[in-house]
Amino acid sequence: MKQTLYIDPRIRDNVFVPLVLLMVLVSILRYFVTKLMYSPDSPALQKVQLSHKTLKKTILEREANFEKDEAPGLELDIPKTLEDGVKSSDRETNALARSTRIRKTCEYLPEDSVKIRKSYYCHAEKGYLAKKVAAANPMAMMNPDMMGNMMKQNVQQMFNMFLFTVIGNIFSGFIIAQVPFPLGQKFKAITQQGLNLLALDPSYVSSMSWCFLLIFGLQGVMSLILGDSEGLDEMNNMMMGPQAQMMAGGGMGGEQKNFQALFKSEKENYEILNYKFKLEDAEDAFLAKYKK
Amino acid sequence: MASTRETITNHQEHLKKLVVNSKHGFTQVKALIDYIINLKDSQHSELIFEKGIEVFTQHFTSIDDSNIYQVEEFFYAALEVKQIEWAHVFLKFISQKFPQSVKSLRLLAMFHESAQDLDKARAIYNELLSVNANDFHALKRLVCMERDKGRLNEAIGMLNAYLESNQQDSEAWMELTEIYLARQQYEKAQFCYEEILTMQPHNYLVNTKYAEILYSAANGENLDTLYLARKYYSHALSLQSDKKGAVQTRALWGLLQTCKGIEGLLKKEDAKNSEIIKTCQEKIREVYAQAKNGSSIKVEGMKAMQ
Repeated sequence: MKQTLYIDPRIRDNVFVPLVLLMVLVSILRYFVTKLMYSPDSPALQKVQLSHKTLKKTILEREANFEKDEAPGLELDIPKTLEDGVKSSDRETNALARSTRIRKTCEYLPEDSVKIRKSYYCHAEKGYLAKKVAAANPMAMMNPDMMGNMMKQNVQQMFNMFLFTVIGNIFSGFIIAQVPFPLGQKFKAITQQGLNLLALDPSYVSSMSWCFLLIFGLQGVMSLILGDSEGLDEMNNMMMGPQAQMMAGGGMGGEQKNFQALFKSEKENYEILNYKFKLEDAEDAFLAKYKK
Repeated sequence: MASTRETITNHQEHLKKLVVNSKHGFTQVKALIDYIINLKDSQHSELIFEKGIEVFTQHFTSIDDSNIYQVEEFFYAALEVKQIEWAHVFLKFISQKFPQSVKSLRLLAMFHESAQDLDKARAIYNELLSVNANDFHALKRLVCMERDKGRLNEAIGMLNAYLESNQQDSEAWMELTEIYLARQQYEKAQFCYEEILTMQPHNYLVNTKYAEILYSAANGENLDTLYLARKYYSHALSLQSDKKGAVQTRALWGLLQTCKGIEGLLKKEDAKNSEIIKTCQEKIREVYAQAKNGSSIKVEGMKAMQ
């Protein structure tokens, strides 16, 4: 059965063209909004204001913060500053990474050195892996960073919701185009969203589906218009919403790892560590290679 | 840039070509500076500094946001060749673009450090650290300042505290190794250098240096450590290819010296040890005979070769 539908040219003028224009404009708008909201978080670009006491008689004197009174001056207890200031999760991640590295290449270390490190990590009471790490802080959700992120994500969601509502209300129910090849019945869900005609051939595309196709299909065009493909990729990541981010990053940014469990498994890894010194026959290898 | 690095076989000549080209205009100067930055070679500081002056005097209006990083490079070069006035000019340019940025402040502190205004530099680093404890650049500069003044205890304390919270930093482990070596605390140096060894177990130089530390730690009387040193020297040498021109002599001399030490301690004939000594001596003779000016070095006269 071959159907032929003649689509009213007024649909092209009043639906198709405005829809494409709307999508392009919204993409551009969204690009700039994301750019505004997700300002780069590079530590090198962070602003910092030092006290006037520190910057006195330097060329940056004018930038100093005159209100700030306390400055460490020449005396700063560095071990304490690091102890308090470095995030506990950073510290434990680094310790775990080092421990893994040592386990993996321990064959190249003399036996005594491996033993020292093993006892540093696995000593029953004083070992690094035996220490208590504060469990994930439930109040972490409340800190301003997290709140800010959540709000931004919500704004994104709102944006998407708004867009789809507008399109659903104004442009729904039109047949806009036909793909020039036959499609199976299963494609109805993709090409004919918002239409409920069982008998219609799936190669006809409804306005709603056209809108979805545009969201993904416009990326190339947008990178031509804006000339910034990296920023666009980032924006699309944001657009996918928290679900996609969760899948990609293995948890939301602020979520904390359970170090207690990681420590326990690392300790077990040490217990099954099968140490064999790789350099036992190094002299023979040397002689085999260099002896005439 | 990675691809160009591989295709260029003779870096010296390429550099010369770029230097000649750079007389023609700003783009060529930029290409030259980019190339030197990529080489990561500090011996070209003078050249960079010279070009920096050229850029600032002749092409000042062409500097835009895309080559601020080159101005930073000029600044470092100026510090290295001790041209404080020019460093001041470069720094002023950067800090006008980025007032209140951590990096500008760090550069400012480096400037004062270079001008021997150590207290000012220290105050800035300290405050940067107290604002953000993760600012390891500032911390490392503080360590360097302590080391420079010869206050090794303080430097070790800071590095220890830093390594406590960042156990993966190879640079810091290396620095700590150097400090312990300077104080002749070889066991501690050995511990720190083992961290580097686990990061690069297949590196000839790392293995050689570790063996050297072991040899020094043995102090000519600890037989077990000497055996270990012998193993690491041998391992380093078997990592190196046996082709002509490969760097081997440092480890060969070390191995020879270690085996002599073992021989002296054993006080009896050990077939394997003597074999290694023989092989080393032969190899050393071979290497020096092949070298261009090898004849001017009298290998035979050296004590270890007898």
